[in-house]
Amino acid sequence: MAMAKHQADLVRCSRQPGAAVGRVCAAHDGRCVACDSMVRPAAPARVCDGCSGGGGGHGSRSERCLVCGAGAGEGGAAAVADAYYCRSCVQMEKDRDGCPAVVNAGTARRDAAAFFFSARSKRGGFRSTMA
Amino acid sequence: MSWRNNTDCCTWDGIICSMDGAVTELLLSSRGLEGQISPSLGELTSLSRLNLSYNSLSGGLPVELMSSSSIIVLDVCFNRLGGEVQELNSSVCDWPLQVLNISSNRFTGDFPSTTWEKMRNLVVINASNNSFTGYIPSSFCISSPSFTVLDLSYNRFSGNIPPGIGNCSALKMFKAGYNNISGTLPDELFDAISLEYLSFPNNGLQGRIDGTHLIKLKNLATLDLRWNQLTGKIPDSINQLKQLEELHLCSNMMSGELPGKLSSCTNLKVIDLKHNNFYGDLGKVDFSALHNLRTLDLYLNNFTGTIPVSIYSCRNLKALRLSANHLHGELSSGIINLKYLSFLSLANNNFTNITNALQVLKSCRTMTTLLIGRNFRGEIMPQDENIDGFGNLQVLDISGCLLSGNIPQWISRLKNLEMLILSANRLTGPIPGWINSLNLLFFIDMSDNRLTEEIPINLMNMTMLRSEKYVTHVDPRVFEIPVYNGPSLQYRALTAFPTLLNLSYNSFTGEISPIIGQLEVHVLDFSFNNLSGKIPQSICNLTNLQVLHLSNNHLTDAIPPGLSNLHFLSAFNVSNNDLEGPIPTGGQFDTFPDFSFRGNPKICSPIVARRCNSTEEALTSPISTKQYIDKTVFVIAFGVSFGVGVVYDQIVVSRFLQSLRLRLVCPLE
Repeated sequence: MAMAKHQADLVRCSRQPGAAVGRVCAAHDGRCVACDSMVRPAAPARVCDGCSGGGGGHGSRSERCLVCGAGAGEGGAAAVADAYYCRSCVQMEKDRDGCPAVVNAGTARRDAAAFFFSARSKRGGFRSTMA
Repeated sequence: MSWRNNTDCCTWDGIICSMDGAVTELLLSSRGLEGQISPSLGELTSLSRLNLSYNSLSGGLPVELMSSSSIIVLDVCFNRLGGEVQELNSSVCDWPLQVLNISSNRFTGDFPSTTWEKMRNLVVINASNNSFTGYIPSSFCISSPSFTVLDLSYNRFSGNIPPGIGNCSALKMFKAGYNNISGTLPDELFDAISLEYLSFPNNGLQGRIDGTHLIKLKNLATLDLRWNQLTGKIPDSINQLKQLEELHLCSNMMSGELPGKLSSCTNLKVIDLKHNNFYGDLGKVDFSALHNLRTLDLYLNNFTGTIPVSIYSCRNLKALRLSANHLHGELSSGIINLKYLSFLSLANNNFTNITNALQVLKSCRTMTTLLIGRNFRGEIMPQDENIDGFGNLQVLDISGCLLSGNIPQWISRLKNLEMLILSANRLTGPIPGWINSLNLLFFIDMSDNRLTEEIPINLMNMTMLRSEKYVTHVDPRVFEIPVYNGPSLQYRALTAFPTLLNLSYNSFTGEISPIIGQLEVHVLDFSFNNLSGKIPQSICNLTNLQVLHLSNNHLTDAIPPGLSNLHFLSAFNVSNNDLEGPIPTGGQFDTFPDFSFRGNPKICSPIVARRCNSTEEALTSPISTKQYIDKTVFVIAFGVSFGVGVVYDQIVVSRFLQSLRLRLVCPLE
């Protein structure tokens, strides 16, 4: 999973997915929740009842971004689109690894994602300096 | 001794009995146990310690264990227990339970509240890493005078921090991070004056830190409030927290200047204030008194001025990150006093005089990570032969400085270098031939420069670009503090980075050498150059390749069909070249969008709305020819089989009719 290579301690929920489709924020819209690639989406990413806001959860959680957690605890609707797996991940059956919601993404990643979304370079890709 | 029937259970492995033969302890941790916990364990009247942790037990937690009249320590952490933890309804109100550890399971529902009122002896509750919802209770504070540890982190608690926590006079550790707690820090919380560890990271806490109440926590050693929404400034009264060792306030919305009295917290080891809105001159804090300081992280703030000389008196400093501020000036030679410094990040500031900086930094013998990009803007890359230190340097980032000149010779002496980032400068000339002498280098980013000539063959002989980094698995090379490659990507270990060769946005000419096939990189980016010739077939040997960008060059001929066998290829772009022929099909190529192939007038594929004709298909696509032959063979085989089947059917029918005719004749005779 390419995502895990970028953040070595990334933890996924991995519980049994339910029927609800997960949501992602604007920064992660169009990206595969498993590998972060932007190739064509193939299958909706279904999440477990706990991550979808059902099964005893709260309504506001249904708007939490699966990848960076934006919207969690804020009561706002940070998630703007359905989450998808890309076609290659479907073919490699990564969509069957359980609920893909990230459980340990901190606020830094949430805010960083928004910054990344707005700071794209003119040369067609985000170019960053390590810090 | 293993468990056997008809033997004394006191001799079984993991069971400890008292003198009179009654079972007192059941210690079965890490035994690979599966199934459910039997409620009958609660009937062991003398059982005081039950440890079933680190197994694969499922089902619920029997209420009989919680309500046992003898159990003092109940540890079932790291299992697969689920369901809800029921409230105890018994009228008995003096359970002996002292330690309850149900962490890292799959419990759901509201966390018990009234149960704790019946337990007067509680010392520890650890329910972290579950899916508890509802509100954090505080009833144990009234009923259990010895209550010391409360860990509810990594759950789904909501609401506010209960003011009643302040009644826990003996509470030393309170952890509730990674939840959905909102509201402010209640004033009553600070009435728990024994607190040493206060941790609420990654919640929705708001408001200010009230200094008049904070100082009540005389024994506080760790204050962890990162990843919240706190505002205001660090209270001046923080100097009265003499025992404070770790201050984590990163990723909030705090502002103001650092209190000058922070220097009175002489036991501080970690100061983590990154990603806030702090401002002011760092020189107002006398860091020289913080002789225990090991980590100072002020990344992404608005500090101004120069690096105060008092920082160089923190002799135990290992990690110093001042990047993404508004600091200026030159580096002082005093930095060599930091004998243990291994991580230094000054990126994205306004420092000047890179020659002086490198001359000073070369003497830091313990330095492994040096990130000084986006400084020294417009200067000249030092070519000084006297830069002969950096013996332990593993990561060097001098990107985004707009430096001119050539790639310097002194880099060739960095024998332990693993990552080299020189992107976004104005370096000219060729890539030097000595590049392959850096045997550990696996991440090379020289993009966005003005490098010329051909891509050297020596790059294809890089030792670590040709291996799969198995050696490094035994040494994770964890950074002293996490590194950020752009705001989105956090890396904790060197090995988490992909094997990368990025030479994009340069002026390289010539052809891509077929020797490139011996590499084992994950990311290969040669886009926006002046490369010509064809894409070598050997590039299909890069079996671990995830990203291949060759766009905006002058490449010709066909896209190698074997690229469709690269199963990990998730990003591919050959747009704006002179390629021709069909686009490979199958594998990952069915997932790439059409803009990956635009700008190649001679390319033909349904993806770009130009179909290949049969002649071109036969000449330029061996796979296509093979597919045609396969189809022909299939049709012929099917036809033959069908014919044989029909003939066989006719024979069977004919025989049946003959048999029927004979039967009809017999009765007449």
